[in-house]
Amino acid sequence: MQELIAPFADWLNPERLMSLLRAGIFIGLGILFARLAATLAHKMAGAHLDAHRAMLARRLAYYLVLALFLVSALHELGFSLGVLLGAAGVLSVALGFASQTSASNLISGIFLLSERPFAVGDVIRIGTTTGEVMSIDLLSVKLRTFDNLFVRIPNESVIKSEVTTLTRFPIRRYDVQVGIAYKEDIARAREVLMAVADRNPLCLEEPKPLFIFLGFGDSSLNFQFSVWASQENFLEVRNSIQEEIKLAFDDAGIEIPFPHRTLYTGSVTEPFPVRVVDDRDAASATVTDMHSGNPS
Amino acid sequence: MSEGSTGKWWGEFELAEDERRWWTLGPLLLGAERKQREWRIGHEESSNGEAAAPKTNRSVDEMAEGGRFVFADPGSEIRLTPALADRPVVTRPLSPLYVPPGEQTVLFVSSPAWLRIEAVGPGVELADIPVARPSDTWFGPSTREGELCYATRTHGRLRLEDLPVQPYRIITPLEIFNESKSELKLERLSLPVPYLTIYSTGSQDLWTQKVNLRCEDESQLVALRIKQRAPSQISGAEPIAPPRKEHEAQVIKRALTSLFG
Repeated sequence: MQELIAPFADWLNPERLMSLLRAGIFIGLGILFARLAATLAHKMAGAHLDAHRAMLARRLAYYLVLALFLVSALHELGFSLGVLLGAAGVLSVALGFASQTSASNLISGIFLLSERPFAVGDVIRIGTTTGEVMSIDLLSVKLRTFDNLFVRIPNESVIKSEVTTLTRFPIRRYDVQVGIAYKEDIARAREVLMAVADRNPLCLEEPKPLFIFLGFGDSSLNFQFSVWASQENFLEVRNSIQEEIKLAFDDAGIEIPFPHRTLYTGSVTEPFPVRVVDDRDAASATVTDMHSGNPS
Repeated sequence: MSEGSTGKWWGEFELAEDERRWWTLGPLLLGAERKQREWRIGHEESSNGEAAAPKTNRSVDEMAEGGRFVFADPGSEIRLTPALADRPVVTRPLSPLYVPPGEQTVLFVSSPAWLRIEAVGPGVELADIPVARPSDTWFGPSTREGELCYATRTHGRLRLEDLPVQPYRIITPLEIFNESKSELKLERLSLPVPYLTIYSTGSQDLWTQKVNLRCEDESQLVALRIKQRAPSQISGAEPIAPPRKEHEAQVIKRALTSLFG
């Protein structure tokens, strides 16, 4: 037993014990100062920057101060800083190869933070996913979709793909695609549509609603009617305006057509034979047919 | 008040327990019912913007909007107070109005009234609703910056006698001085109504204090001054509703574009 402890006791001479103690004190102080620095950084940054950047400043200050004290503690324990850094260099190359994806996400994350295409709380659309941004982290962006799903999107794909921020500007436009029958008067349809927008209090009066003639469709005259709404009322306007347009067109007797097919068999063919049947006769004919078990 | 557009429609109203009372204010139908430990408020706006159907036998709870407010002692009185809109009101003259350099004029513009309902005993506001919901509009140099306002149209009448009787609208005398060297075109004007006080002489007319607009030379700034007294057009008026927002400075300097669109 004595033999086992002896080398350890030798190594643990009073001098070494002192340096161990000092290293311990350095680490303890480091944690304390790092926390202080973090709070200070957070307060200072909070006054000028948004919540997310303030949090980032806080973390940066914390780890920077802690790292300084850790290095001092290691130095106190007799580790040479140069050798440590060299080892770290070799290690980082190895790690870099091993964690290529993470590194690329990390760098994308840094770019994303400096470019700031959106902030926490914004609603964004990436590919087919639409949701509210919960956090922008170094490796990924976290979204909450409107059907309450949690979506994690790697920063690399955010940087690479098209991102639409839906809540960037305070007002939005909603485009209604509508068609009317060829027999209808375009000017009148336009008047009816404008009146619909005017009556809806959530449709903004200015910017004015837009009426664009899109063209002569297969079975209808096609228009785009665009109305503006504030961000928070957008969904309500989107729902109410279509319903109101339909009602207004019905009231004004303007037909919204469905696709028509005209059968044309060429000028040389005979007209299609049409037989006119009296309602009552037709009904009784059907009944008879059904009785005979021979439905027509 | 179901008698409608004649006379004063605001004030304090006493209700007995389980009593139900209806008011029709333009397109708004408002019902209030006092229960042992609660106030029930219900209101709805007629969809076509026309006058609301008068007193009905419906229950207050059936109304489109409203709710129940629970108190240990609800008190027996309810107070209706007129108020101004909670956002600026953008007024558009029916045809553009030009004020040549060096000219001054007084325009009478009206803005829609809001209604505040308060339980007098507990001193709690039960509702703050527009009498007729005005349309929203955007006022700003672009679709990226600006503010959400309410839209209203005005004839921009220059003579007090020409002003039609408009119940549930609040008149603001707007004095415009054009001290610049260029013509001032008034197409749209944003009136900061949340800073204005409502005055009344006891009749149904509601006024705000006079607002002074001074279009200064050179700079693209407009000084907007809100007078502290009742307008000179009505005598013996008393303030009946304080402004929604307090503005410390008496003069609000604004860029020309942030006032005239």
